[in-house]
Amino acid sequence: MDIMNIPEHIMKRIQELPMVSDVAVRLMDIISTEKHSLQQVIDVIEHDVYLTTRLLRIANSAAFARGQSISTIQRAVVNLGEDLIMGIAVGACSGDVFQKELKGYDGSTGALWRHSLLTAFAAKKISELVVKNPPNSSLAYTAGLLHDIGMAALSEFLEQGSKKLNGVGNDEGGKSYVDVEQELTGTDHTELGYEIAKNWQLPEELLYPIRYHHEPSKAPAEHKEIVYCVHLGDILARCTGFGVGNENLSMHLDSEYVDYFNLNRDHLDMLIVDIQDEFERVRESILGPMENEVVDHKTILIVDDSKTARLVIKRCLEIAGWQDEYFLEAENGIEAIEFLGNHPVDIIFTDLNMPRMGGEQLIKLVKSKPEFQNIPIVAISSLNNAAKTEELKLLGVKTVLGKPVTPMDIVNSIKGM
Amino acid sequence: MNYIYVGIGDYVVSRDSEVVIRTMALGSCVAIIIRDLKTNLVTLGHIALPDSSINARRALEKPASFADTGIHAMLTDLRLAGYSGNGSLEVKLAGGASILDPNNTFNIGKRNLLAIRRCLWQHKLGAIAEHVGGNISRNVSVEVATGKTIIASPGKGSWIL
Repeated sequence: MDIMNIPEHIMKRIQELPMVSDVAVRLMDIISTEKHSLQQVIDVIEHDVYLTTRLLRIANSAAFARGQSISTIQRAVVNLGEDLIMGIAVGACSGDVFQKELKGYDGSTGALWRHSLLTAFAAKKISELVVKNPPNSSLAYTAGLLHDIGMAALSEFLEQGSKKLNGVGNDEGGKSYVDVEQELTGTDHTELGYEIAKNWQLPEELLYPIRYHHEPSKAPAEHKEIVYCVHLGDILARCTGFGVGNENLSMHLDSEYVDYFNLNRDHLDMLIVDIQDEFERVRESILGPMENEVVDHKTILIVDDSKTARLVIKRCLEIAGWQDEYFLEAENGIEAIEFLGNHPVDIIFTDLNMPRMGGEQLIKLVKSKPEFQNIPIVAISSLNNAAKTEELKLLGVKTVLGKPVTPMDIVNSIKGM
Repeated sequence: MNYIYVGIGDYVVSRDSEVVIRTMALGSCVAIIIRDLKTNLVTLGHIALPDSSINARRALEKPASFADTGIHAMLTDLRLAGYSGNGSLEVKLAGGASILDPNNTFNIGKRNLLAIRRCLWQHKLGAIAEHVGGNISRNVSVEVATGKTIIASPGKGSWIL
């Protein structure tokens, strides 16, 4: 293992992460050994009431029950299959590690879990195409489930720098996503993942894919096959659109994968469809309805010729809990109209006195166009008098704020929007 | 508003003004949106692969898995729903992201886009707006009433196509 220099404050945070349950670790141990019996799996599960209940509930869901009622854990194990059970056990027995929102990556609630499941499906399928020394496919699956666990820990240290991560590309020779993580925090998600996995006392074979899934060529020779499986599994999951957040498809592909796999275009094309089919089959049963996955961020347009004034409004909104929204900033009415043509704006904050096109003219224009007239407008006026306020309200402004505005004014002005 | 979600290889045709059609996380997949300006019919297909010859059975079961069979099925259903075939269609495309691969195996997004453009040309159609390629994942939603198409991407905000 190469030397890692994880900053102390981050290392400390890892120790505080919820532990994965004993049951999940024991299942990993059993399933990753080539020869094991179904009874061994059942014995472990039966000792955990919570997991048993959850597995029975999923086994009885529409996607798996096929009209039968499944009342024993034996039947549930047969019906769901070992891999899916492993997946459910890891997801159910690690607190909210996989589920929580990862703000540093712009990852929504559950995004890490969806990406991990897809990577697991993909790593398992691709392990069947390894030319020499194919790894145990269940091990590839489990490694896929756990490969990005470090993201759950690193996210909070990236919040300030996530904009830098946004621009990372996947061109060869360019800076990689992991490099930028290193620059911003002094460590990266593969190093942290490795430490978490060690902390959780996971089987040793699982440590290497977690550590090297973005740099598979650096993995020790005897672990290269499984590491490449997870590397490609991760890339395939990204091709389906299910990355974790803003890293999307910007991860580098190690082109040496051709030395390990018998993989041509047709294989790959069908793999992409197969893993998405499998994901769609299980998603409703284990992840809940698709509607829950959609996060509708609001887009807020701030129009003011003073950069400081725009920043103040933005900060106030962020403090009031609007930190996940998208902010667009325009210096005058003309720029604002341009933004309105290109972005689905939900709320407009506008100053009145601005060069080129002032606030009143902007308000009149917005209210005259059917596609914009329903967007609520908050106007900020330096002429703090009743007549002006009345005039603006007649134009269709929802709220008028007098300068100087306080954070409370701003927050109250958009309550309920 | 009622949301209809279109999974991989599926397509939807609607003229219900209360409906918004959506796709989740388009990576290398491409959403084809076709709107008939005369009848306000909208169809959205979630295309996964360039060519149906790879899996004929799937092409029958889920034609919109492939560019060729998908576009054919979408246009056929538009006609069945009332499109008179008189050239009043507006096409938009979104998706088709790629991972850079010197071996040219993982460039599914690029291959999807090429195949889709070719199939559209064969039907004498071309896109009036596109947000395609690159290395970002996209969510797309289309308001049937207005045809307004919005794209969103994690960390990148949302914009109108």
